[in-house]
Amino acid sequence: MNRQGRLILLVWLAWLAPSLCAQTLLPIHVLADEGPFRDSFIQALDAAAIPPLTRVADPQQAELLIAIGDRQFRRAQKLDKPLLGVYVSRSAVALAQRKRCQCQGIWAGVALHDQLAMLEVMMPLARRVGVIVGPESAWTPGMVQDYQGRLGLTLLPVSSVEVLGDRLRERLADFDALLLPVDGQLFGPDTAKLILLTSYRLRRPVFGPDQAYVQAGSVASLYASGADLVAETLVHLQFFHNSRRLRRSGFVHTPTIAVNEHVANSFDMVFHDIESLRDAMEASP
Amino acid sequence: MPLADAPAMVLTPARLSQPQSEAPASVTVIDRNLIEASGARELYEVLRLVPGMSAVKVDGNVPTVAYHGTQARDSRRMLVLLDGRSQYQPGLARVNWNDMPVDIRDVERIEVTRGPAAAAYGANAFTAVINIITRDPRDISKHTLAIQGGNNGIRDGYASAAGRTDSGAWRASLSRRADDGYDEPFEGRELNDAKRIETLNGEWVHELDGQNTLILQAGGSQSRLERQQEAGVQDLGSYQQDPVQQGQRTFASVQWQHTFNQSHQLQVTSYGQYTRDVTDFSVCYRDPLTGQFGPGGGVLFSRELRELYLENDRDVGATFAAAQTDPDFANRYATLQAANAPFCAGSALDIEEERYDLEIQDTLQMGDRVRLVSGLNLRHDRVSSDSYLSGTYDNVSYRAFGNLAVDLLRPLTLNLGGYWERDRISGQHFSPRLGLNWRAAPGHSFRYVFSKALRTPDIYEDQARTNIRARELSPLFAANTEALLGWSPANFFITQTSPGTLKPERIRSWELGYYGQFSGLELDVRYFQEALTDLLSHALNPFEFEPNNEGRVDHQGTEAQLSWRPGVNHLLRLTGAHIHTRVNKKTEGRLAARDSASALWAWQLSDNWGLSSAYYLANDYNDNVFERVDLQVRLRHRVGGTELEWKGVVQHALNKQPVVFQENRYQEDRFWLGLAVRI
Repeated sequence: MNRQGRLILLVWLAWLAPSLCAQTLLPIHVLADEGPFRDSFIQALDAAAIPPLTRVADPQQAELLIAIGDRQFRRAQKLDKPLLGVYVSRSAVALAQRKRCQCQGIWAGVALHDQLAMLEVMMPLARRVGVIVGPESAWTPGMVQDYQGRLGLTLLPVSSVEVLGDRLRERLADFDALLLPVDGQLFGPDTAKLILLTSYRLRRPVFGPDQAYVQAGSVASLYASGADLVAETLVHLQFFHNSRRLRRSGFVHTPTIAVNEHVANSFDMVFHDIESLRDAMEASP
Repeated sequence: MPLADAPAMVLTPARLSQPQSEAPASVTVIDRNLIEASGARELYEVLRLVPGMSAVKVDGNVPTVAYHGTQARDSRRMLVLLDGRSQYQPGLARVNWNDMPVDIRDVERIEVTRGPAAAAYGANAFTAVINIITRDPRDISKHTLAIQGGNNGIRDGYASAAGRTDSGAWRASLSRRADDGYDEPFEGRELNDAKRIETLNGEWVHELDGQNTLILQAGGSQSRLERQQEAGVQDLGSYQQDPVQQGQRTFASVQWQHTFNQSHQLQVTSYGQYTRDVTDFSVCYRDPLTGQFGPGGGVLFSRELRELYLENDRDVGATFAAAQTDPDFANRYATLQAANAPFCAGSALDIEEERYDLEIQDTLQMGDRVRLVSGLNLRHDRVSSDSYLSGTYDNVSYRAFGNLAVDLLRPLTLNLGGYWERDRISGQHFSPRLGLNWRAAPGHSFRYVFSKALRTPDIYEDQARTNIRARELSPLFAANTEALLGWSPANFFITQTSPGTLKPERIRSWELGYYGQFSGLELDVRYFQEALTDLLSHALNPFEFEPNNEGRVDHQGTEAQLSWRPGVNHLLRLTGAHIHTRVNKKTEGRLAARDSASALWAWQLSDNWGLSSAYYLANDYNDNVFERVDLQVRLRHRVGGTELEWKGVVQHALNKQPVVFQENRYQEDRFWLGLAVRI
């Protein structure tokens, strides 16, 4: 082949390379606790056509590991492979990155500005919002302080569950509403009663942190449903498949809405059912 | 997955209160932040922030609070609850704002239902209901010490403590407040209207288990109020000791809350209250025949003059005319002349009132669209008074109530309620209410409400047997009372007796209202018509007593309240009322201001500094325009773990007109400084 022919061949191969790569299956391995969520998640990944994936049983055969939850995420780091955490705490990802792992995460919870946007739609009267943040919370103090919107956010740092009650009693009456981030340490079954009954007595609605709290009695929350996590995972996988790099960590971009209609109605929220709230949020700027 | 152990349902629809957009009434909520922003020193003042509400001190140191106010004194057409306990006294129907056993700092929230609410609260929730809710001990984490002092003898103190146990919490507070009342002399004399009040209020909440909570409350108050001289008594003699009213109150209550499940809650409440008020005064009486001070003044307390009074149909003029020619009266008069000493007597207006109340209330959420609140109540009132009743009377009432809220269609809510009662005074009666709320758009609702209510005659109105006894006579008269006055004990010749046939007062009301939420702005507007009939409009006091149901008042008007937050650190709250009132008895129109308004602006300047200002207008009370502006500056800061709050308040009258009556004037602005320490 003469020089010109070799040049044409190289150009043609370079042009074909992305599509050739695109057809290459991405081997992944999923680490998750046994249970229905794991099964549903894997099933959804298997059914996804884009990107082309192949799920391998041996994590050493995988090009990318997917770990669901903090415990599996920490376990997967020992395998020393590119790692995507799904529904992991922001602090767990940060800690792993400080140890120089090649990992990113889909954080547990939803973005602060998403929750605030929902709060503003449901409660147009609100101006002062208290945001409780702890060491393990999905939001950092910096996220709260960086907020530039219409509401007046006040950061309520809480170092532990033991001081949560006092902080609520001292400050809750200063706000129009209270917003909670996902935080496995602060906002679990044990503290739900304290927070929700205090908020009810003081007539200050609580928003967040997730669907379970809404069932218990907070007004509403955006949350990352299983389908949302799958969709976000596929976005990350597509990015990795194209670039062989992990996409930067963040929250799901299209969270799901949960509303406690009885509580929302009691607090005279403008919208107190999911359908009308969803319509209103889609219409709002 | 997330929150693998989801918390169990902790809030029940049954516990949740009805939202304002679905309530069959216009509701005004004043929370603790608003109370603090108002700068009010006394609880009754805060109620000026309610559209259509009159809240002024009419008799020197005695506040009158009335919704769609009519009479300036004897305001008795509104129910006031303190943590569910009725503050409406059974003997002399009134609410003693001075003696309420709570300090303004203990109040978490005040909910005012504007309009007749007897369907939910029973008789005497006639024009409105004020529900005062104190702070739950579970929501308090600091002890507080506070003092404040200012001109006009303002000297207040407050101390509260709170604590937690493994399964509950408690709080206790002690307070004192004092001031010298109106300071402008009237007709050359200083007014006697100083007051001093101490209160004690405590609560203990104990969570027995996840479904049962026990709440105990107890407290009391004592008061000393200087009262003004009665014009009628001034005509008869000269006060040697100005009237002083001393009051004592105690209460205790227990409440049990039981949650069956997330849709069903039961509440059983029982309380007892005791009130005692005694107004002592001493007068030297003029001889009615000569007009001079002397022993002849004793005829006013003679048996003969009493008999002539009763024989002449309680007509004072006819009585004295008849005395001129009555030989028994002449003998009595001559007997008194031999005493050769002026006749002076100390007397007292006394009343003791007890109430024992037991109520069971059941709240049931039936599906997503129906909610029922129902209950039973048993109440025993006992009143003892020498001066008003000449004895002791009891009234036992039996009650049943229910309110059904139904979402007929998603945006349309129907409220049907009623309260059935039977008692000894008024027999059996029923108060209904119907409300329709239409949620026209998200955040915007309209309502139509129709209701009827009663105010039943109090025990005094029903059983009055007045006797003003001559106590503390001078030694000569005390040793020879029967010989000199014809009887012992001797009573003032005027006595009043109720026929016992007075009917309940009635109100029929309807309203159209709108409630809307905008970005940072909340608006409520109401148009109403109220017809008040069978009113007891005439005087019913020991000196002047005209028991009849001839009074009538008609109100028609509009009210509005607006809350606006133009920014995070600003709150503007406006209220206004324009009411046309027609009365058939002049006294019913004294507090019926055609136009009234309030404007409160609160500005949080920084984390530490706060500024608020309020304007109040009532045009007019008894032909006098009430117009005042208040200003408050607050500074909060921390010293270690202790929070300090400094504040200064000025109240400035914008005109020199008296407040309702001519003697009620302030010479200078009120001001005071305060310091609170929270540990």
